[in-house]
Amino acid sequence: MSALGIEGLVAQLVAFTAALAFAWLLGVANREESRPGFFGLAQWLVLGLVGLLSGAMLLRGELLGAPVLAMTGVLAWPWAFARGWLIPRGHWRAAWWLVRSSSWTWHDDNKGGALVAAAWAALRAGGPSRALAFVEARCERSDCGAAHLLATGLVDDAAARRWIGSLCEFEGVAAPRMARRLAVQWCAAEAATRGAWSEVARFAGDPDADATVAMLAVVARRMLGAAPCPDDAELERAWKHTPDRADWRPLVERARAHRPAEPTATPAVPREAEPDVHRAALLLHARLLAHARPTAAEVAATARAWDRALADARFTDGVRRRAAAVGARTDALAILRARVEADLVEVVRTTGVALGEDPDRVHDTLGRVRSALHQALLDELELVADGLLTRVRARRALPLHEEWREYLALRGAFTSAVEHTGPNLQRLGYAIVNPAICALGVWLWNDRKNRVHANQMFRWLLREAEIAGDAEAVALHRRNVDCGR
Amino acid sequence: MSAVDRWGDNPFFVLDLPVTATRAEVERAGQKWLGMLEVGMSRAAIYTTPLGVRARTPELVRAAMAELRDPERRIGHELWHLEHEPPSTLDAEDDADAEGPEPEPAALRILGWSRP
Repeated sequence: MSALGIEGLVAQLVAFTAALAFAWLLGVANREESRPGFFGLAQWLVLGLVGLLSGAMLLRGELLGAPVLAMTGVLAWPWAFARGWLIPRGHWRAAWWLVRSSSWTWHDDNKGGALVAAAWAALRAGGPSRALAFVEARCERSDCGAAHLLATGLVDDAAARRWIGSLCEFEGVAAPRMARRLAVQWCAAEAATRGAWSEVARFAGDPDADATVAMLAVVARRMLGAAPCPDDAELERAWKHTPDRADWRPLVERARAHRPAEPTATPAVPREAEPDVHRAALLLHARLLAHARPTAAEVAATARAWDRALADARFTDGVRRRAAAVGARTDALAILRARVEADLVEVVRTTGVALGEDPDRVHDTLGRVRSALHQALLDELELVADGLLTRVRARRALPLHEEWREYLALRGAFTSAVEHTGPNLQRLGYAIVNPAICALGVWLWNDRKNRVHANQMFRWLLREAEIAGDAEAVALHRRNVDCGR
Repeated sequence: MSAVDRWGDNPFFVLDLPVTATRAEVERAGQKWLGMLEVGMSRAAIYTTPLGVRARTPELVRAAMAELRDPERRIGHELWHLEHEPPSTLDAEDDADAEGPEPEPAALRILGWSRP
């Protein structure tokens, strides 16, 4: 073998080793649980070789080496280039093409990553219709991964929070780390724009929270006065680690100046003792209906006031006498009681008050409101679940993002119902939603080969089965989840 | 119909009458409001309820008169009559509750998640 041949072999080995070492270092930094496959390593090997060659060309004074080296850099870090240059300038198609080659950041979901880049660039370009149609058409394909949820959210203003929020709840290695990182950042920023600081604070310990999200979480804890309340030094430390920190300075200053209010007890009954029990109940009822965010204590106080009124002999006798005087033959008190209960159920449902359970199961107004609410929520849950199960059994397929929307709707109805009434509904509700979501997950997994979404459904079903104490479902879904590992 | 609408449309509020009003008084009040609405008097266009001010229309006045002619329905409406509490006293504490830490409207923009 000639000396040139040995030198060439050595150069190739060095380049290969350097590419592998660099890839390994990036992998450590990225803390991803999976690694790109053969395509990613081959890409790095080729790019490493081309980079060395173009460097050598430059050293020999050949100017062609400069554009080749620049192109190698772009192709070696496609996501960084797309995010730093193409997306802010709204070049959605170029961003899409480039991120298709991002096998490291987006792993085996580089199609989803490319779509996120296109959707984000389209957003920055002001939402041109061609770009939106391009993204939407691709989001309807059956081979969508987790990152498509982020892309869908970026082009669907009305439901962005639901789509991207659902990606934040992804567990395991189903979602590329970058997809979840971006979703967490979007959700934290979006909650901050609404002033929902308690939502922002929940991202404090998230493993995918970046420096900006960590800073927003510190600000949120300061705004809320949540223990341990961050002091000025902690705010400054969080701010110093934030990219574009000058833009965040006004918020940090506002947080520094903010003094959380001392918690005060809300009076649950009118301040002045009201001798007329009927009037007292009406006043509380009016206050409850006028309140945008009533508490469970206020609902309970109103219910108790009506119990007092309906048990007051002076009031009930007066109603009966008055009914006779005007010529009414119906039971006015029964009609009043029914309307009070209907109003309270409506208030609880429309405002999302968590009424909870009563361990003593007292048959008073609040107890009857709880029962009515419980039954109405179960009936509605059954209706939605039956619709989904019937469609799945009939094998009427929808685009994947529509399937995910239906899953989220049923899951949301279940969660909301449990929050309204408590753990007792958890067991009954789980028995209703489990067959429908399980059938959908199995169909997606076995026949439609969409394992990312199916795996997330099984994970959710497993978690809820453990809470509901359904041993059979726990065993089944543990097996289902293990299939996806 | 929501709970707020059910209570807000109470005929005694619409006709601005006490629960002791006789049938003749109901008819007189109804005709009075219909006449005032017909000539476009601004005072007739609204009425006060414990849940705030609402718009009075001829249809609402006629419906209120019909409701109070029926004794079965009238007794039900009487039980929901409440001398007006100024809405401000009901809402004042709610407004105080609603005040919280201010939002940061620029958060999405700073991170590049919004349209330029």
